[in-house]
Amino acid sequence: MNKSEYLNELRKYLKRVPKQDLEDALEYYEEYFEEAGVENEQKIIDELGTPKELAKKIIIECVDKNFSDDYEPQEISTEVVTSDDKKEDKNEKKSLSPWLILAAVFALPLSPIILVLLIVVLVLVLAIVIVLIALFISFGAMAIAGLFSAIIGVIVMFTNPTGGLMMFGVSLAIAAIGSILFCLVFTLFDLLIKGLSKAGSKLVHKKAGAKA
Amino acid sequence: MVFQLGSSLLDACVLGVLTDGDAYGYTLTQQVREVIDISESTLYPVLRRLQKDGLLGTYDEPYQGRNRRYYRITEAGKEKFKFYSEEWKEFRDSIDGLLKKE
Repeated sequence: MNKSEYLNELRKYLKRVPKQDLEDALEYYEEYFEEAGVENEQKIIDELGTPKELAKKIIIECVDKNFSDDYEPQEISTEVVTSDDKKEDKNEKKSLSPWLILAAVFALPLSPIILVLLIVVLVLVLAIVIVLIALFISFGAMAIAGLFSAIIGVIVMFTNPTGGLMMFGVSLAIAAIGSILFCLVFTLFDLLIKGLSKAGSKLVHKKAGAKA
Repeated sequence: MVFQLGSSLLDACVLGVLTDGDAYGYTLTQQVREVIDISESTLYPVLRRLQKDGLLGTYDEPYQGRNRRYYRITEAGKEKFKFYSEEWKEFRDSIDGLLKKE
């Protein structure tokens, strides 16, 4: 493998990393190869490990960097952050996808038992997500059906005032309950994703930190 | 080396090298490698982290038709380095105290 093959492969493994981080990393290692000189190319490649291994390190660092704010032990507060830096930080945080965290978690040096546990947890989460989606659809349908039958209730009122009014009221109640549950499931879903992202990055932070 | 190198110590070493003057990735790595046995891929994440914490800044300078990215220590970085070297002295002295009993 030569330099450009190595860097191309590295780029392939880094496709989930935010674009700016990817370009920075590739520029750094491109420069690194240039500085080392052609005669040292093979030596550097051997030292860096496979592109996959190097990509793992970069992915872990990437997740860690985006979330480390919460876990940074504040030894001294001499950091001067300009408003520009902060803006940039926020943007990066937004672009960090759960997929990247997932990739980072699997990039960690984990023992087989933890890996199996992780897969079990993931399957459980998947099951919960599917249940939530099902509930989401049902409650949505409940709300819509309630609204429709309320309209029908109004029509029925012309022929049968009491029955129509009753139908109208019950339908509205069903629509309201449906909407409330719909929103509730939505919130739960949001919390689940956020919680998992946080737990994942915490794991990355801990493991990667312990290794460094 | 038989002793484990923590990330704070590595941060301190990088800040220390940059206190003597700006450097680009390759020379920086080689300078640290002269003292500590780290892999060529160790320093990039460290540099990124220090940069993110505002302890390092970068600037590009053209060299033979391409760019060299130089790293320079910021005021906050100098402050941090001072903190690290004091902590290190304290740590070193107490370890020395323990080892002298041999």
